[in-house]
Amino acid sequence: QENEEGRRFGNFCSSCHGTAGAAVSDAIPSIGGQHKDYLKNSMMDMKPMVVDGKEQTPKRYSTLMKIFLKGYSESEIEAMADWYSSRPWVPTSYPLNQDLVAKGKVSKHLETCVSCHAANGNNTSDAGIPRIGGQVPTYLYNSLLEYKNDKRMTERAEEMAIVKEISDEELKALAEYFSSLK
Amino acid sequence: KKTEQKTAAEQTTAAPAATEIKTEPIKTGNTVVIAGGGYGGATTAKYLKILNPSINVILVDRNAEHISCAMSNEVIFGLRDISEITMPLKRLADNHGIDFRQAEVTGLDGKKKILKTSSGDIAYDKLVVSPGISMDYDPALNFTEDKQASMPHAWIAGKQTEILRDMVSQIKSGDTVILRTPVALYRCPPGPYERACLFGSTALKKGAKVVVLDPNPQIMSKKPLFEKAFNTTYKNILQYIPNTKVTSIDFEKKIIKTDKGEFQGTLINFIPDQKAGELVFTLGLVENGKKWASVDPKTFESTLIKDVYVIGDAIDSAPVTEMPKSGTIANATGKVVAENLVRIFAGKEPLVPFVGNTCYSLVNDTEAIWIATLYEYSAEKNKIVTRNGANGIPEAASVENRINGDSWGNNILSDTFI
Ligand SMILES: Cc1cc2nc3c(=O)[nH]c(=O)nc-3n(C[C@H](O)[C@H](O)[C@H](O)COP(=O)(O)OP(=O)(O)OC[C@H]3O[C@@H](n4cnc5c(N)ncnc54)[C@H](O)[C@@H]3O)c2cc1C
Ligand code: HEC
Ligand code: HEC
Repeated sequence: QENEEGRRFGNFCSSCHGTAGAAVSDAIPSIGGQHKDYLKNSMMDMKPMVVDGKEQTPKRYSTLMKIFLKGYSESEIEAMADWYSSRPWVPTSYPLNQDLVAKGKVSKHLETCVSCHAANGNNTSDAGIPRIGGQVPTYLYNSLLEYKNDKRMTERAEEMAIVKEISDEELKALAEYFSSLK
Repeated sequence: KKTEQKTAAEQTTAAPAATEIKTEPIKTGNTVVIAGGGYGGATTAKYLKILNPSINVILVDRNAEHISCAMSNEVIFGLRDISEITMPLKRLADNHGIDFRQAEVTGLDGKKKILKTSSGDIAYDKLVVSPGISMDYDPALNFTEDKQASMPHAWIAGKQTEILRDMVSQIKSGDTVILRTPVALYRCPPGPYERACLFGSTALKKGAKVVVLDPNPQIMSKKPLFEKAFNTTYKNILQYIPNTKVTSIDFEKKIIKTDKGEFQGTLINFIPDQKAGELVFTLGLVENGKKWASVDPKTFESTLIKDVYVIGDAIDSAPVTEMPKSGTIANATGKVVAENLVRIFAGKEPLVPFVGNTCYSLVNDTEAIWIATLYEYSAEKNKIVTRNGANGIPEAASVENRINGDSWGNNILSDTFI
């Protein structure tokens, strides 16, 4: 049974994120089939909260998601997270740079990433860890840079601290490698 | 049964032939016929099938392929190939089990619930109409269809997009481009100003100049951001003149006369004022004296003919909504209507619209801006209005926005037409 409320609140999101959240391009992330807890956290982290009548800077940087999320309540966000997480995860079909994929595969940091995100980039035992295997490449790279440059100051961002020791070039290779997984 | 794209003149003479075709219309009890396979119509067809594959969906368009207006400015300025925005409707139909018919829609019998087309009558239970816009020519200017091979507006993508692209590629040092923007309401509020910026970017590279003649009192969308581009990047080569009424056009000498003086150009891009696609007038969906089709904001059902829904650019938006005439809105409202038709066939009440809009615009070859808004139907106002103040534009143009905007383009093309 689909969460029809979540589908209705999120009906227009697919114009950017792809039908049922399966993105076909490289920069706007796939959200269909992403873990529910992570989806909800990511949206709550981008949503500008109002404290004493004043709008706060969200914990997580976004270009425009903050505008849309301002318009939703927490329970509506939860409904959308529920619906999108119930859609199939479609690994990216975007043409990847195979040299970068190969470089990422032999990165000495890969083992650490895999210890949390699992070998296929889909750790199903912790729904707060995002699925990254098959996510679109430019988005993954931008996300890594955001953790590195303190633009994503989320509750669990600390766990991503390892990116501060990795060069941008190597992060790009790791991103491309995780994109290539199914 | 292949119909070629017709000019307006041919269409009126061809119309009566349709009544001579004696096909017996067949419907299954849950037949939805969709007239127009652009952003609104194609999305409705696809989402009906996704939500309930047993619904019989018939999509009618005069063309085998829909060429997207969104991103057509990129084609004109050499940033995308036209093949990337050319969407075969048979591919969509095959992917989702839609019955696609290439035909000219010519009439409607709202009582018998029959849509008339150049390839026969089609019976429906529910009809969705999304024909886009047509040009509302000012007779005083004598700017008619036949003038457009040499002076294309390219505001409906297709052949004119390619003609204008070729003209742009010929711009040389010392040239002057004149861009006339349309009076609001028109398709894509930021579109004319995006085009102005891209003319500016070409002019900077080639050593040319741009004059923008705007009949509106000011820039109609993302104003501070376009203003900034005009006043900084294009400061020395672009002149923006608001409140300008064009009084005549000398097509030979390429002179535009206005209440603010005379302007001579080497390339004139005159975008005419607009009204709903001719089709909604033909089908009797426009109130006397109006230029757009009247709809109920709760459902997008026509206020004039029952069981007929109008979406996209063709609706009379001002009285019922703050939503712009955009591809994103046509796509989003197509989903709303599809959801509701599925509910109605299942004996449930329709739900009021809840949609969002974004338009990305380029301000030069590498940087973009956007506008984002969430909308919901308000019973109190009987209007679709901004929800909880969720509306905004960025602080400045950026490369990041350009990269996301490029992704948006590919994703919405896929969400609508694949
Ligand atoms: C330069 C430019 C840039 C734009 N950029 C953006 C953007 O960045 N973002 C955005 O959201 N929007 C953008 N738009 C606006 C967007 O393209 C339109 O709002 C959108 O196409 C509207 O969808 P529609 O379904 O109403 O009409 P359309 O998409 O125009 O579809 C109408 C369809 O109906 C068919 N048709 C019409 N009459 C008949 C008939 N009698 N018989 C059979 N078929 C018929 C036509 O062939 C066509 O396929 C832009 C527009 C322009 C001009
Ligand atoms: C106009 C484009 C656009 C629309 C519409 C849009 N998004 Fe996004 N989304 C983005 C972009 C771009 C990002 C990256 C963050 C940013 O820059 O805003 C993003 C990021 C996200 C993320 C974070 C994913 C992750 O892996 O961390 C989620 C979840 C999301 N969007 C959900 C939604 C939902 C739900 C809607 C509809 C209510 C929506 N989006 C509408 C463009 C869009
Ligand atoms: C200790 C656990 C841990 C390690 C090690 C780790 N991650 Fe993560 N990762 C997380 C968690 C938890 C999040 C979500 C944090 C949040 O909520 O913002 C995350 C988020 C991400 C995201 C954002 C995805 C999105 O959808 O926005 C990417 C990309 C990512 N990790 C890649 C990596 C890579 C590459 C490595 C190795 C270099 C790595 N991670 C190492 C736990 C970890």
